[in-house]
This record gives sequence, structure tokens and C-alpha cells, in this order.
Amino acid sequence: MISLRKTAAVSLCLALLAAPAMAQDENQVLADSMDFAMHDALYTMYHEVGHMLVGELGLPVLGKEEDAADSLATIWLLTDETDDDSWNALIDAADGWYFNAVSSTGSGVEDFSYYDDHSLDIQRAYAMVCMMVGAQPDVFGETADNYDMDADQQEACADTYEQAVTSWDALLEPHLVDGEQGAEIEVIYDDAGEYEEFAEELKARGILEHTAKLVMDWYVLPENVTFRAAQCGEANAYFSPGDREITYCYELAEQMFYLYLYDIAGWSDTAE
Amino acid sequence: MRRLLFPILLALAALMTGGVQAQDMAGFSKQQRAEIIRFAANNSLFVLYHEMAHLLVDQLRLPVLGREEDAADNVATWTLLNKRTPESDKALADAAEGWLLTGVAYDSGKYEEDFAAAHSLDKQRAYQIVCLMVGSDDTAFRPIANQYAIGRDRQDSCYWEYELVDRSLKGVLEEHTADAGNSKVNVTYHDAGGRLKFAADAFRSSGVFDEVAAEVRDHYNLRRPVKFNARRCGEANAYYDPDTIEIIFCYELMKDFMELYAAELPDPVNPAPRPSGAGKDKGGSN
Repeated sequence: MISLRKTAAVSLCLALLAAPAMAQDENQVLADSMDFAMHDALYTMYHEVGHMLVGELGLPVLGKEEDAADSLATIWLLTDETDDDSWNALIDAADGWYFNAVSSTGSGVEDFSYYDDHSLDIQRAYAMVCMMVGAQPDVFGETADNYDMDADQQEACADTYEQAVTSWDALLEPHLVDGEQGAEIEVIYDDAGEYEEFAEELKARGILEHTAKLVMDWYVLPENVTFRAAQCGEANAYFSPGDREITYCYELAEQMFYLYLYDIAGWSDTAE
Repeated sequence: MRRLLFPILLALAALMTGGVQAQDMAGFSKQQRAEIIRFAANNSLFVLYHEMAHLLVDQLRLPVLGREEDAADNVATWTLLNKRTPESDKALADAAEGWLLTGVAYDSGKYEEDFAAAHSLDKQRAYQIVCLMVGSDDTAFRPIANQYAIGRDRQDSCYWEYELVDRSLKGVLEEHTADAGNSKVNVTYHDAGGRLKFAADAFRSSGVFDEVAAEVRDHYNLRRPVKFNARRCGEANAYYDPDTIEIIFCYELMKDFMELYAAELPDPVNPAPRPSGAGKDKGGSN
């Protein structure tokens, strides 16, 4: 009996020693996963703003509209002086596409992906990193190196970035706020149900509100627009031209949270 | 500033074509030769409209929000769709098939770096052509979209994609097409002998280079003169050079397209017996 108690006491001691350290690691990984999900949410909102501007302002798009929306999101994150965290968001968003590609295409790319209106996830990751290193070679050179982009490619990316910025600026210039703001953007949070944690985080960080403020501060919208966070039954986000509404699905935040937790931080399914 | 179309094409061409001696198409029936030349000329035509798009983007300062390479493909498809002749429809079908064949021949997408490239994958480029086709006219092009196994939902969204491309191109080109008809385009066919002679002659007599030159001359208002040069390059390629305002077409590319298609045809050395003679053969792989 004594020995048993002693053993028990020792285990308890070890547990007490280990627990705080474990908990700290766990908390850190969970916090990182939430950061990752929210960084992706910001990128996603900017991407949908790209679609919204094309639709609401009738902008011409000669290539893929999806790539145009990606380029707007990347430019905004690169140039938002009011957001100290936006460059971290950029790296996370690119990694998001990359790891999404790795986790979803392990067995090869499905045929239907080639005729999708989106580029492949992995192409989207590379295109983003290209714009990043094209805009800020000193800051994102290492990121581009990690993506195995050689020096020639990185240099050519300066032209790619320049063309995208020049084109967006030229097309948006006639719609810049000059004195009076345009139509309003209303931010609405629908019931989040089991995704409440993500809804709270979106609100606390003001991701939809910040996106709405940027649009209203800069561009004159012809009609009122709604930014809505909602349960959609799928991990997605979209702009609906008919409703003039950008919907961000809580499910997407959850999916990106677990993408980080399992595929990037490397937690196994049994960790919880 | 070169815009390479097929960076590694020439190196692989010799391996790929094997025993097919496409330099003069000996061994193929007259009908087969005509099909090979048609396919190669049509693919060259698409490539040239693609290069014309780079010329227009550069000289007219057109806004490009996504990949310029995708935009250039869309301009080529849109230009051909606006013609709506049996020939232009066939050119689009051949161009889509061409991207499928090059995608297989050169393993487009096999290497990680393909995903980082400025161009979309060959297979994506094939599908995008067919998407805009069915988007512009679902009755006429439903069969080819089905042949490419493009899902019904995607076929429907191709309608909106075509609408956007059509609205966008009309919008950005409007001010440059108003007083069109005076652009200077100087077409030159440089001599090419030896192994390239057959392809060079076939390219010239197909008239595709002159067709694209006429398109630029008649439809767009360019202030500076444009040069179209067809010549031997040492690589199978075509590109627009913004420094000299010049579209260069390499005869090697025509030859490459010919070999690509010839490799799809039945073995020319031992043709299957035909009761009515090779001249009436309706063979081909469409």
C-alpha cells in the first residue's frame, strides 16, 4: 500500500510539473490556429471585395476574375498602413492555399479542378508569393525562397506586381472617394450556433468591420452592400451580385483552424 | 521580356516524335497531310492571336488584373468566337486539342515549378477555350463541352465567364477600335531551308500570319508600326517583344505542331489496307 501511494504521489508530481508546460504549448498552438484562421478570414474578405468591386463598379476583367480577386486581396494586405498584422496574414493565407493543396491533392489533382473558375490552390499560393516578393523583395525574399522560387522568377515578379497595382489603380481611380462617401456597407453577424467561438473572434478582431471601413473610406459604391457572417452548411465565402452581399461562412473559419492545427502544427486526430 | 510559349519544347521534340519524319510528311496520305497542316496552322493561329493580345496590352496599356497569360488566351478565343465561321470554330477546337496534346506530351503539371509559372497548365488552357466557347453559344458548342466532360454546372457558369470577358474586352478596346484601319503592320517571312522548309512553306501558305496582321491593321488603332517576323529561332516558340514592337513566330513551332498531330495518326510506315485508296481516307483523331 505504501509503495502504491508513493507511486501515485510521484505520478501526481510529474503530472503537476508537466501539465502547465503542456497546457502552455497547447494554448499556444490553439492560439496560433485561431490567428491562422482569422488571417485567412481577412484575406478571404478582401478577395470577396475584389469580386464586389468588379460587379458593383462594372470593372473589366480580361483573365480569370478569381485571380483578379486574389490580386486585390494581396495588394490590400501588402499596402494596408492601418494594420500592423497584415503581412503575417499574407504569409498565412499563402500557406493556407499551399497546405490546402497538399492535403486535398495528395492523390493527384482531379480532372474537374482543371476547368474550375479558380486556379488550383497551389497556383494561388505561388501567385500570392510572387506578388509579395515582387512588392517587397527584402521582406518576402525568404518566403519566396521557401517556395523554391529562383532569383529570376522573383525578379520577374516585380513586373507582375507592378502590372496588377497599376491596373487596379487605373480602374478604381474614377471611383475614389473625393469628399463624400458612397453607399453604406452594413455588417451583420447571423447566429453562429456551434461556431460561436469563431464568431466572437471575428467580432473581437473587427475583420468584417475593418474591411467595410477600408472600402467606404476609399471607394464610392453605387448601392448599399451587406457583409454577413453566417452558417452556410459549407466552408466557403462568396459575393452574391443579386443581393449585393458578401457572405463569410463560419464553417470556413473552423476549417482553416483545423487545417493549421492538424496539417501545419501537426496535431494528430487523437490529440484532444 | 520574352514571353516564352514552350520553353522546353525543342529539347523534347526529338524524343517525342520518335520515328515520325514530319519534315516533309512523306508516308502520310494526302488527306492526312492536309489534316496535319490544318491542325498546325490552327494552333499557330491561336498562338498568334495570343501574342497579338500581349501586343495590345502593351501598346494600348490595357488593364490586366489577373494573369496576363490567361487574358491573352481569352483575347485569342474571343477574337475567334467573334468570327463564327466553320473555319474559326474548327480553329478553336484544334487549339483546345493542341493544349491537351502538349499537356500530355510534355507532362504539364508534373513538376512543382509548373504551378509557379506565369502560364496556366496546358490542360487548364484547353478547358478555358472550351468554357468560353460553350459560354458564348451553348447550342453550338454543347457537344464539344460534353466531349471534354465539363460538368453541367460549370457549363452554366461559363456563360457568365464569357459575358464578363465579352463586356470587359468591348469596354477596354472601345476607344482603340474607333478609327481603326490605319495601323501599320509589316509582315516578313524569312527564308528557312533544310529540315524547316516544309513547315515554313506550310505556315506561309496557310495564311494565318497574314490573317492576324490584317486583324491588327483593320480592328485596332495602334500609333506605332508593328513588325511581324516569321523565321528560324532555334526553339519552337512565338513571342511578342515590347522593345521592338514585334511578334516573332518561329517556324520550329509550326513543325512542332505538325509532329504533335502526326504522332496521333496511324503509323505512316505501315498504313492499314484501304479498299478505296489513301486519297479518300477520312482518318484523323477528332
